[in-house]
Amino acid sequence: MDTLSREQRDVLLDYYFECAGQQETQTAQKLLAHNRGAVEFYEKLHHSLSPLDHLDHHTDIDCPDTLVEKTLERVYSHDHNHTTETANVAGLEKLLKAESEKVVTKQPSFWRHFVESAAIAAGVFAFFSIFVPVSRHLRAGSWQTACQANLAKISQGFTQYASDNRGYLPALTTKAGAPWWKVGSTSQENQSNTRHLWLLVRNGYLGPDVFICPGSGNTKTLKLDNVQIAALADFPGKKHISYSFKLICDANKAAMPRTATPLMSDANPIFQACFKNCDSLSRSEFDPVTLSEKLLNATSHNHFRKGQNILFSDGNIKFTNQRIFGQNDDIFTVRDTHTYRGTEKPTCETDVFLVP
Amino acid sequence: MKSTDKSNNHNGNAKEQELLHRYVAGDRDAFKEIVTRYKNQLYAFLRRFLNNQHLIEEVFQDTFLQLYQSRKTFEKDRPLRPWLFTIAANKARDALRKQQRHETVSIAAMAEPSDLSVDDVLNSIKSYETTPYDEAEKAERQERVRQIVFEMPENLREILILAYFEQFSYKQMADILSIPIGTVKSRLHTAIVFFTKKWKSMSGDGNI
Repeated sequence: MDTLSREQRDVLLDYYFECAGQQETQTAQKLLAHNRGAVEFYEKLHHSLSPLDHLDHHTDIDCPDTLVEKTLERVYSHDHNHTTETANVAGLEKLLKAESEKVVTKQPSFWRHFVESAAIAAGVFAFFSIFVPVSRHLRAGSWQTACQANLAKISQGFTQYASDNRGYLPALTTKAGAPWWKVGSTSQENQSNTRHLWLLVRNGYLGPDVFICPGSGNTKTLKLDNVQIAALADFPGKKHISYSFKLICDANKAAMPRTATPLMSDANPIFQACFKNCDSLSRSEFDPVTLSEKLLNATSHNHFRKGQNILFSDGNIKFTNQRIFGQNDDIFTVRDTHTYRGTEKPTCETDVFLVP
Repeated sequence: MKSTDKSNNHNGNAKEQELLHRYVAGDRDAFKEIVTRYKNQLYAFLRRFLNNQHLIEEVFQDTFLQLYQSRKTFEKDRPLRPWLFTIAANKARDALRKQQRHETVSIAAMAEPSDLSVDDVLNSIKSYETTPYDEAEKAERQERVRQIVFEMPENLREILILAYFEQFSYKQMADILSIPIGTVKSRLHTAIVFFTKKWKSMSGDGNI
């Protein structure tokens, strides 16, 4: 037979399998019309593959009706199940939606209750942990201002008193070694350092309420009429006065200082514990207090131990955590004295000692 | 070559489009009509390919079931037949692999490209003139053909059936088998060589 190229054989193959395009079909038909080799190739191809036709002659090739019926039954059954499932899903979604819209009235579980409580507690704790310090800071500032206002009034009282008494501060002559801490005693012998200030109250220069610092705890405003006040030689108790005053032992030396000298301050921090531990006015002394590093650096308890307001003789008022003024003088101690029993006296006029 | 009414398939294109639209819409009558229309073609393909009545019926049902279930993803403008045979070919391959796992027979072995070309094989045939044969001989030849076909590697049997019996175009076969057109051609050539060699060696029709 005539020799065929590879392309010609492929065209004939495609034509045989009816896979050729229009152009290839025309080429194949031309080859078969004019090329003997092409005809032989085509006939051999047909001869080789035609036995495949026997494959269908073995039995009836038509699909049995029973198989069709089974198939349709299976398809429809599956479709019905699918429809039912879809309906079930739709029903379930409807139920879930209705359930989600219900108002829940059941009792919450213990753990849910616990978790919710813990969350609320944490929230409250967080709120107060922020609010309390802020509030405390604001209150402290307010109390400092109110305290300074009290001291300003007291300063005015001093000025008026000094004006009325030849420039002398209110002062009573006391015996040497007299206890300056016995607030509330009306005895002639026992004269506390608060008796000087009580003169301002008894003589009508000031009301008793200005002697209570709003920043101090465990205090009580004194509500007495003039008769009752006149009958008293001192504040009724320590809780009615929360300031410390310059200890003046000799009334003749109580002239208003010409230089700015501390006259009053928030309560002396060194002896605070003594008033808590010593409840008897019958004792002449309290248990000895020895100065420690802590006591030497302590500030008044009135303002959260942040410092103290100090009233100077010139009327100036200063809030500070400082205790040393003038010639290296600690306003809360007696110079060169380390142990205290409540009867100490300043060493000189420049040794300021604010008590009780 | 098995001659089927390919032209008839084209004649009813308009009707088929209308049928497909109804099928996609879920019309059961339309689907039943599709089953009726394609049942014999599909059944024949499966018989040629599977040679196991149980598998044939199982794959037949599975194919139509999937056709019905996948109607919403079917592109209505595409011809249905290649889509149906794509499903069927996949199902049939799966069924054969499942059977292979049970029987541990290498049914799914893939054929390597033959060293011989179609031309070589055809040229080796001494005589290609057909002679009449009686019924006994006919039955014997049918059995030999069946034996050769079902001994063919799966991929060669598949493409030979699709090309020779179902007369799909290269493009359609490429789509059905998810392989390039070039692979379709080379695989088909290999299938022809395989069958021809086996047939000639069994029948003593030539020296290859």
